[in-house]
Amino acid sequence: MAERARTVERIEELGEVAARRERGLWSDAFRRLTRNRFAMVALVILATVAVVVLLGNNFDAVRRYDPRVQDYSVVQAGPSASHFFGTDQLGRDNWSRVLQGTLISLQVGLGVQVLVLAIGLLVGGIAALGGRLLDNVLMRLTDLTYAFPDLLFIILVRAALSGRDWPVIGEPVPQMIFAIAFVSWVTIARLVRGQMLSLKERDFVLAAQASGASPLRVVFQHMLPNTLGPITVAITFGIPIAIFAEAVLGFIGFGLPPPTASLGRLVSDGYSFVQVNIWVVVFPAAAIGLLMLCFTFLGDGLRDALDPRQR
Amino acid sequence: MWGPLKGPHIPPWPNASTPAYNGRTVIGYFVRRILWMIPLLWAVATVTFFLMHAVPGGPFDREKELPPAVLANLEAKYNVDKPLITQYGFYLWNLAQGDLGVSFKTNRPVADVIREGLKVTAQLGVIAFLYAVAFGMTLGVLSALNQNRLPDYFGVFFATVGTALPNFIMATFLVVIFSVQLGWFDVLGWELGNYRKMVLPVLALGTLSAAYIARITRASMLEVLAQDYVRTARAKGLKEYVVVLRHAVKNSMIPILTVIGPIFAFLVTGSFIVERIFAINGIGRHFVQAVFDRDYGLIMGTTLFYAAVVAFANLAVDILYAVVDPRIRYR
Repeated sequence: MAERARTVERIEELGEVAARRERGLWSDAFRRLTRNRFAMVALVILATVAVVVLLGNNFDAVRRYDPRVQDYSVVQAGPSASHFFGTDQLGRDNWSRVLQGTLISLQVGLGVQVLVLAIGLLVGGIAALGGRLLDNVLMRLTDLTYAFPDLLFIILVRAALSGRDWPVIGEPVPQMIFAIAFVSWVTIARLVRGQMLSLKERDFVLAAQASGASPLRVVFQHMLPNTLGPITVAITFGIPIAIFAEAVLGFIGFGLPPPTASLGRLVSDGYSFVQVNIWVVVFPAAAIGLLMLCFTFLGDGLRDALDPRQR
Repeated sequence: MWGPLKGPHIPPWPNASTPAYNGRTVIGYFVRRILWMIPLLWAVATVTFFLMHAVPGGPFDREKELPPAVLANLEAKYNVDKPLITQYGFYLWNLAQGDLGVSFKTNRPVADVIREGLKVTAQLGVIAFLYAVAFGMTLGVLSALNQNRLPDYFGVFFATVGTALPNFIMATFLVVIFSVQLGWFDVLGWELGNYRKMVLPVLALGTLSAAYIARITRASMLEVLAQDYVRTARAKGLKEYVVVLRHAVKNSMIPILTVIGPIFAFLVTGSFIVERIFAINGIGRHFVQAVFDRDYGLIMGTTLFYAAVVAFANLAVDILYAVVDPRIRYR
């Protein structure tokens, strides 16, 4: 009898262990992500950069100099205790300028993804669920956008938007975000459509429909959460690409208007003086490279974590 | 990444939403794909046309304003005084006859400007392409054959860093190290046959693609090397190089082929950054300058040219794909 009670106890214990082991996709993925050294290092670096950049753009103690103020007594200086990253051809402090540029890069990188996510979910979702006609129209539109030479169109859209005083889009940073999002929503739209189409046929969706869930509930409660994994990965990979596009625009002279220091413009400006002073180029270039590398590593880590089959 | 903003190229027709194409032949499919380019280029032309006219300022804005009579004459000559829709009609009519018009800035035929720029851009693009494919594939194969040993670590490092560093950052560091510090190469220029002017632009343009190809080759090779027929080939005593080259490399090429088209398009269209860094007079520089100048004729010409390159590259991949892999059927 006692033995039987012990067996029951044991079974209950096992059940508890099993229950504890039972984790959701996200906490499971998070555990896998924390085991990925590269992704964790990238995450730590990005967090540090974000903190420093936010502090640096809000507190003069961190920024130390105004990024716009020129000081002709220290033109083209190398790195030193007073100017961490040296100064440029007008004696402006590079540390404060790189801080400003990095903030803009992060704003654009993240902002583009917000916009791309909204457009992509809308277009992809409607294409998958809105019937054959809408699907065909939207997918041909996506194919057309895909065929556009993307950087050229970003330049044109950016040029067309510049100098307008429309609300929101009139500001330079939203203009940049809009121009880049204008051509880069295609990937997410295709992804969402593909996911939705295959989810539509799955048993759990049929079960939800059969038990009388409203179409909206099926879409938002049952289908949408299941597309989030691949979308998260695609969005993370989209960030470095948007940062790259912003830097290219700044580099060729279609970036933010002059006194503002975007990283691409810093590289381009410094490049004219590369034979005099390499530091004006090295620091902003390294900042762009670091941001892109970290987001790419994070994306790699997320992909491995969220979809362990695809290694 | 090489896109650089979009994912891999997906053929537009054979997909779940167009079952109407079932039961057609490969030839029919290709004819349809080629015909598809007409509306595609028309769409690119239309969007570009209205976008560029939405850019504030006009082609004849000067710091010192032109006399009204001169301005009126210029505008009449280039049809800028007519309503936008009429200009659009004129442009399409000329385009349909293969006439790209003239540059508003220099009055030269756009086709001539493109042909001239193309010579340099194509040299740079093709050499960078060859470098990317040769170096990327070699590195990928060596990486896969030495999995988790030193050459593999180098390959993976190169592939990761290479795909994450934008080409102008790469170019900047190359110039700082090899031109400014070591003085091995020139800082500016392009000249076919002069290595001092060729190495850095090619490395700057091609490395991203090389890294991407290396990555795909490695993954694909690892998959193929684990297949049973490779073990069979080894078991029956074939020499290692025969197994690697004939059985493994050949069969691991298919995923690489799908990205080679977009990579080629990227190397030709994306070169304007490298052209700008090294002050190379290619098409990309013309395009950037044309946007600054509001040179409507040249903007249209260069954009259409780029769109055509992208479209043909994608088409070529689809054809290649069908030829290499007989399993792919365009029903």
